[in-house]
Amino acid sequence: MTGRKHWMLAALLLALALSVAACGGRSGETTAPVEDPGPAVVERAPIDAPVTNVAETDAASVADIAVSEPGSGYAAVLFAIEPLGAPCCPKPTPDKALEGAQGVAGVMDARLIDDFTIFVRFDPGATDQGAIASAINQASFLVTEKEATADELAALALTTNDTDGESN
Amino acid sequence: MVKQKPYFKLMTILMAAVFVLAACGRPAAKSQEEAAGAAASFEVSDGPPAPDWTLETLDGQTFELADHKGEVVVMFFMASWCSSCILEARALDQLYKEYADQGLTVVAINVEPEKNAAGLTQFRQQAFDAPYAWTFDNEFKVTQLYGVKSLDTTFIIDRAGNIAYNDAFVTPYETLKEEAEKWL
Repeated sequence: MTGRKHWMLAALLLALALSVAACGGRSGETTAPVEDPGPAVVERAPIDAPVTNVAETDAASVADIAVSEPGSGYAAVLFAIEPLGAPCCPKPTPDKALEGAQGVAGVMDARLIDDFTIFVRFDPGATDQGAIASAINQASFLVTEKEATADELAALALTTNDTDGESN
Repeated sequence: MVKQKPYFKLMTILMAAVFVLAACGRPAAKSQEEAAGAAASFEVSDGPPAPDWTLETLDGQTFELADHKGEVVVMFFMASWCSSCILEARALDQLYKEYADQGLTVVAINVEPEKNAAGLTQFRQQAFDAPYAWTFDNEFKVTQLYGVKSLDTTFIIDRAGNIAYNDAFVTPYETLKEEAEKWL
């Protein structure tokens, strides 16, 4: 063979080796299997078995308290509420959400600012914001903390009646 | 000895490069064809694309909807205090066990403001310890993203990632089965 033929043969072999090396991983990627959801086990169980209410608040997940003044003995928060119907439960109304908040031990005062906002003043030693939010949620509402300044919350707190746990 | 022309080496390298590119291009093109062919063998709805989302699961993992493209996904909005939700959770348990091996995925989305793991675990137990995914939407992002106004809301996402079905009531097993089979 001439030098040129040797050179061409070597180049072709190199190209072949490069092809195999470069494409090996790629073809593997394209054939990666979808995650196996696991074996299907058919268990026909009655779907009309007795149902009980399993509502429970996780005390470990304590939300931040919006306002907590040392020595003042209370914290305050504004909640934005949005109805979330549930076939199991009465139609959500703002009054039901308010009752939910008022029913939490440690809530000193709660009132509707409008149909979409609840102001709550509570004893941070007795309850927490998350527990109050959960109670409102169980009245069939989406509930999120609404932004408010400390001054706004303090002003709202001054205009509410302290009922010592028996909210108005 | 034959003297090589100066451009001969360059030509050889270029040939090698073309060879590599041609060899690599074919499997990629083929895989796209295969993917298209696979998709074509399933029914695809004309519903809108399902927005993607990611939530934390009860077992501390994450569930991302996009990871399940190519599967039929049932999204079930519930709360641990919702007694009617247990009925549908049980129906979904039965559905999942029957169709998981055909590409059905079920994910329960807990619509509560806190990650109430204890409550969700108890709820799951009442739903025959259903083995599908259980997630926390404690910031209501997915609930609001999908415009959910009621618990017991169900969405079925087809293999192409489109919303094929949705309702806002306690969906009986028969309806779930009928709807899911359309897209499996």
